[in-house]
Amino acid sequence: MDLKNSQQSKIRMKQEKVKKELQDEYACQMDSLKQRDDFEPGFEYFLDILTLLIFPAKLKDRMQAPLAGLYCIQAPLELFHALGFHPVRFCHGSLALQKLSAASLPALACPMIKSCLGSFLSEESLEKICDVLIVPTTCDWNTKIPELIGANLRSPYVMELPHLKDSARGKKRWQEEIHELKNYLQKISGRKLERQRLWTSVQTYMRAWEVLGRILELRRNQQLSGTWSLILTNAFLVDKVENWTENVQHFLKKHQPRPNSDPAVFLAGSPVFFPYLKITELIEEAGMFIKADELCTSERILASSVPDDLSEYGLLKALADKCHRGCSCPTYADNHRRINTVMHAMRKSNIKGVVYHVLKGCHPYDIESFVFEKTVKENGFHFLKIETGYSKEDRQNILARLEAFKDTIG
Amino acid sequence: MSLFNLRSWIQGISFLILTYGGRFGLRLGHFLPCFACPYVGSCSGHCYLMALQGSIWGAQIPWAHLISVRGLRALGMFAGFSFLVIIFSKTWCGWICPFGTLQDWISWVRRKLAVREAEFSESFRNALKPVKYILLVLLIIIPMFIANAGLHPDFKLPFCQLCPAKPLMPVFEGNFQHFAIDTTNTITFVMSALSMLLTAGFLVGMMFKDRFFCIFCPLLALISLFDRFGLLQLKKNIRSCTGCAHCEQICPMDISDVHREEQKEPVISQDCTLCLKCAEHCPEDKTLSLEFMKKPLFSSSRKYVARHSIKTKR
Repeated sequence: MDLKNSQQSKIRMKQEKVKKELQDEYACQMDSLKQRDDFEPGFEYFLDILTLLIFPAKLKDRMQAPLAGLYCIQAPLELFHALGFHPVRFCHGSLALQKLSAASLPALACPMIKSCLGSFLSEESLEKICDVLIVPTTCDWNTKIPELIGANLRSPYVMELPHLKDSARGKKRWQEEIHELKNYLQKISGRKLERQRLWTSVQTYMRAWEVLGRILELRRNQQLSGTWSLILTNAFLVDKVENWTENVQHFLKKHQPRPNSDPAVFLAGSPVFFPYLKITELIEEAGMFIKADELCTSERILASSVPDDLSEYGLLKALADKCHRGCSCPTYADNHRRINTVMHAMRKSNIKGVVYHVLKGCHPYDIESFVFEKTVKENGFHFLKIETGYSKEDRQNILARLEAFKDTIG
Repeated sequence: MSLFNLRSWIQGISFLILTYGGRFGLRLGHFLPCFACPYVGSCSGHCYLMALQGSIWGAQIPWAHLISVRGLRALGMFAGFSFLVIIFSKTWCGWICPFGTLQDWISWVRRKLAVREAEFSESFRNALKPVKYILLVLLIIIPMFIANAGLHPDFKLPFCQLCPAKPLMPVFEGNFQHFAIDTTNTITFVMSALSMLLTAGFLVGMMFKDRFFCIFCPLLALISLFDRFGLLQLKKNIRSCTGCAHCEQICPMDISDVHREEQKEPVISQDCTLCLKCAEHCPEDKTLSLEFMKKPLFSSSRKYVARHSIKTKR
């Protein structure tokens, strides 16, 4: 009994220590952002709501709705919204949180998964206060995470993601998954999905998609930096979608563009999430401008849906398609068109180089980087692959490589 | 103005002109590449299928008259039809055809009532594709048999006898006389009874499936033969398509070719009606474009989707 108490006490002490480090990590990153030359008061709202991620109770109070914690971007947000849930995405960019999961994961595990599991194991975690947890089987890490968190806490709801997007059976199976998810959420919430509410939710998220497009347009015109654009998109889902949309619109009205003429690059690869902004900050420090990206925590955070059949079945079908075929996550087996997004954006926006960011242990992005490199170079563009983690130890090394890359594209 | 609104206006105006224009002396000829039904007394032009099956300008021609003024008349009529198809391509189907417009109106009502659209599997949909070509061949061969092989003349205009537009379109001028069984003889009885059954079947089909009749339309099959030569072309930038499949999802004809195409730029396929819903809903800039003689008239864009795609459905 004493041994057990002693172990629990040790765990609690470790949790306390990590909590302190996590708050310091957030505060440090916030300070760093606020000290930037291009900081403007309009960013305050987005930084404030990102802070809520380490104060889950406050987040829940603010939402006043059951929280649905989501991994990845495959579960349709509109469905949660229509059933009264507030969807929150489990993305963590914290180095401190990794300390709590070190004993539960391989040393070479993806940093984001380490951080996410660490968050689960922390004392006051967002994951613990969520009413439902949804995990689509995207990468291997995500496929195994239900076991890991199930062993420690409770089993999440797993969505089996068909890894073939363009096959009729893959499409059918994913639609079935979406219908099953609907049934599960109806059971948990005790509410029945109303078609009109779902249609309203589709329209609400389309408005968010519209303002996301305006953020990206600013960036394409080199009037909003990659780091700030990432802050804006990272903050999506930390607040109610209507609030986020309204605040982005407000920001866009007040924003005073500062044209930037640094050489433009495309940021591809593994997700980047607050407070891990090392890669975007270093690209900018090296004198380059991130004009476009294909990150699932940035440009791909939200996709458009265009339902034609406005029945409940038709709306769910359109949402299923949007989250499946409309997604270019490298975990799909037939994902060859992902490169089109990159090449098209580069040609259209006069971007000369790709910085391909790989979180060490993020295998799908790592594997696709080789095809990417070949295609990008064959098309006459420059390519630089950066493999890193949440630690800041390799900053100087990466900066030196980025500066050399700038010379090649400049 | 959104493309959807523009198309709705053009469809409405075309419907009025082609259905009632005759009352104002408008005569647009007998070679129109759309279902401007000749059984509508006040129509301003005639569907080419009637001419094609007929004995004046079409396939009901004795072999001996093939090389004669009569043969030249048929050829001239076909030339007129071809000219119109080459100029306007399949916008005849998606933007002008009154029967297509009627189907779109029925679909609009279904959408407003939020009734689920029927789904056909890809294999079933593919299996239906040859039907329109079979009908096209039959509507040419049967008149030839009448003229040359002694087939009973009551089989004349075989497609028109069965076409659901024959009883349905005259309703718009208050004429219900084609909802009838003709008991003159066995042939007329069978043909008219079949016509009624098909009309009822197509009406139900149109209520639950977008452009249900177009799946079987022999005129669409005939127009398709000119796909390659049309001055209007639907082009896809295969290098910018990200495979989101909005084009497939939104297509009233369930066409997946536009989404799947990864080799060539022209993407008008045999079932395409050039309604341009795919281009309207494509969120990738300049990925789907309508071109007239290689000049883009409309190109897809994220901005357009953001501005119009949801509003048009309210």
